[in-house]
Amino acid sequence: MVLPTDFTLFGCLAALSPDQSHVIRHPRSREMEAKETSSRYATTALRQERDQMEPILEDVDAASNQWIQFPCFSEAGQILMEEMAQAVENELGVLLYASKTPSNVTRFISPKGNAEGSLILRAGKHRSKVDFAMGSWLRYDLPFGTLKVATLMIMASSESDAPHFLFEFIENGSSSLIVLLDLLPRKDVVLEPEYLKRFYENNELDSIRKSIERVPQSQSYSCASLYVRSLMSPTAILTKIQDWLPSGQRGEEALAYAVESIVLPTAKKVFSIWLDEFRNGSKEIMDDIDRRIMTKRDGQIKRYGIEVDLSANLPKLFGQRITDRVIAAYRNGQ
Amino acid sequence: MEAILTASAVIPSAVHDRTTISCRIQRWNRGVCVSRGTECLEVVGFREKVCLPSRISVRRCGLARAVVHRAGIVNLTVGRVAEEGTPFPFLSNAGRKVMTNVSTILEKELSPLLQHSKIPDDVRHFKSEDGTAEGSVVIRAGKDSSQIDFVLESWLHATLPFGTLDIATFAVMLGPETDSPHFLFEFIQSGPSLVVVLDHLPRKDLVLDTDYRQRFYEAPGLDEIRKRFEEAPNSKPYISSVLFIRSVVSPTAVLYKLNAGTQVDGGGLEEQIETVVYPGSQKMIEAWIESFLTRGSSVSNVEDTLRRDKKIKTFAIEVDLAANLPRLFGQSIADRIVEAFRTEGRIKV
Repeated sequence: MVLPTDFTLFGCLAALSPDQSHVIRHPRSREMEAKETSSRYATTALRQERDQMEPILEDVDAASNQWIQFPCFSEAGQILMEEMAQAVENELGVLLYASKTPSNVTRFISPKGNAEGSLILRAGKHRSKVDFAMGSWLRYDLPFGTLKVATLMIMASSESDAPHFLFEFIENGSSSLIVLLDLLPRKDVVLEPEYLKRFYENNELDSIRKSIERVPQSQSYSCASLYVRSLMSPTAILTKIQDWLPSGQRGEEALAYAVESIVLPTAKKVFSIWLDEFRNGSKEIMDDIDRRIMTKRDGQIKRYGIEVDLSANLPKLFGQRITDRVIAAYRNGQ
Repeated sequence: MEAILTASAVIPSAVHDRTTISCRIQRWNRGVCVSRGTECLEVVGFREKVCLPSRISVRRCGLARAVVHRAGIVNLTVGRVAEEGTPFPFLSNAGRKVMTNVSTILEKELSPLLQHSKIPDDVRHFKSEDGTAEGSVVIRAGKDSSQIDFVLESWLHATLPFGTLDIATFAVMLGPETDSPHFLFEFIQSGPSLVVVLDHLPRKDLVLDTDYRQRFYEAPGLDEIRKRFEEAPNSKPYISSVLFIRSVVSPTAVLYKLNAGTQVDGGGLEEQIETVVYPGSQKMIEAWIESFLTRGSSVSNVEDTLRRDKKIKTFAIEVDLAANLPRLFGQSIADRIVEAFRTEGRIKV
C-alpha cells in the first residue's frame, strides 16, 4: 500500500481540494448552519450571532468535551489510545481544568467527509507543573487507505524542568503502524549534561527503546521534519511496525497483536517513568534567565513543532476557517 | 587482503622443528589454505585457539609466513604491517581512498588557514608495547584569524581477541568567531562491518534557534546525503550506546552500520565503501566547506558558544579517549595523546 510516509506532529496530507468546510454541529445549531451556507462570507453581524451561540453549544457539549476519544481507529488502536488517555486523566486530572475547547474544534469534518479531526485541550491549573494536556486525532482517506494519526501530549509548565510527554500513534491504512513515544527535553542537553543524566540515564528508558528495536517486525523510522527530529530525546522511540508476526501471522490481526502486546505496555511504561520524573525528579528553575530561556524554548516547540504544521496542512483538508479555529484553541491552551 | 584472519591448522607430525609454513590468504570468508610449498595441507576456517608463538610477516601480495615450532594446532594470526608514511596504512584500499579523498579536500581548502602541526613525533605515531595496537594523531591549530580551532586527522589500529579494529577520524572544530557547525567523520571498521559517522555538529540548540536549522541543515539539503546511507543495501542505523553522542549530532547526521553482503565473493563491504561511503563523505565534506566559507554568521554570545564547544571537547577527551586509549596503548601513551588534544588546538581546553 502506497501511503505518504513523511509525518510531522499531526501528520501530513494528500492533495484534496480546499473547499469551504462545515463542522459537526449540535442539532440546535441548524439555523446557524443554514445562515452560513447561504452566505459564504459571514458578515460581522452573523459572526457576532454565531459567537454568541458558542457558549450555549459549549454547555450542551460539556460532557463530550471532557476528554479525548478515538472513534475512528482500529479496535486495538482505540483501546490503546483511550487507555492512555484514561491514564492521563487518572494521574493528572487533579492538576487540570475541564476542557474549554469549543465543540467545533473538538470535532470537525471536511465537506466531502474524507477527512475528520478532533482536538481537546485541558489547561493546567494555576501554578501547577502542567501547562496543558492535549489529545487529538486526524483521519483522512487516501487513494489506497485511510490514514489515522492520534496524539497525546502533556506540556510541562515553567514551574519545573520536567520533560514534556509525547505519544503519537499512526495507523497507516491497515498495513503498518508508526509509534512516536518520547520525553522531550526542556534544555540543550549538550550544554547541560546533568539534565541528560537526571532524566534519561538513570532509568529504563533506553532499555525500553532497545527492546522495541529488537522486535523483528519493527524498523527504525525517520521523521520528515528536521525540527521534530531535533526535539526528540536520545532515548526516543520512533518506530514503524509492519503487519506480520514471527509466528507467520499477517495482516490486521498481526497489527492488533503488536498494538496490544507491544505498543500498549511500552506506552504505559514510558508514561509511568515520565510521571515519576514529573512528580519526583523535576526541579524548579530558580534562575530567572534560565527560566526565561526554557519558556522561550517551550514557545518554540509549541510554535514550530505543532502550530506551523497545523497551519500548513489543515487548510488543504478542512479549509481556512476550521484551521483558524483549531489554531486559536491551541494557542489558547484550553 | 581484507581483514585480520585467524585460522587454525593441524600440522602433521611429520613436520620438523622450525619448518616454515606458507599461507596464502584468500578472501576472508573462504578460509585460509595452509600449505607447505605448493602442497596444500588443509583448508581451515576460523577458530580462536591459544597459539604457539610465531613470527608472522605479511606482504601485500597476500602471502603470510609462520614459523611453527612443533606439531599440533597452530593458530595463524595474520595481519598487516604498516609501511612507513602510508596514510591510513591499515585500511583496505577502498577505505584508504575514502579517507585520503577527504584529507585532500580539507588540505586544499583549509591549509592556508592552518598553522603547521606542532604535534610531537610520539603522538604523530605510536605503538603499544605488545605491538597489538598502533596509531597516529595529527592536530593542526587554526591561525588566529582563521575561525578554525583545529583540524584533527587520526587513525587507530588494534588487534583484539575478536579480530581487528580500525578507527579513522577527521574532525574540524571551529572557534567562536563563527557559528558554522563543526565537522566530524569517523570510519570504524571491525571485521566485516563498518560504522560511519558523518556530521555537521551544531553549535546551538536547534530547538531554540530555528533559523540555524534552516541555514545549515535544510538549505544545504544534508538529509539527502543521510538518505543514501539509509537506503544502501545491508545498512542499518547505528545508535551509539552513549546518550551524549546521540545528543551532540545533528538531525541529519549519518550514523549507519554497513555490513558485507551475503555475496559469495565477500566483496560486499569494499563495494559499499566505494559506492556509498566515498561519494557520501565527499558530499558531506564539500557541503561543510561551503557552510564554513559562506553560511556562517558571527556569534551573538561568545561565552555561551565557547562553553558549549568546551563541553563537546571535554566529553571527547574524558569519555571517549581517556576511557578507551589506556586499554589499547597503556597509560603513558594515552596521557600523551590526551595532552595533545588539550593543548594543540588554538583554543585550549
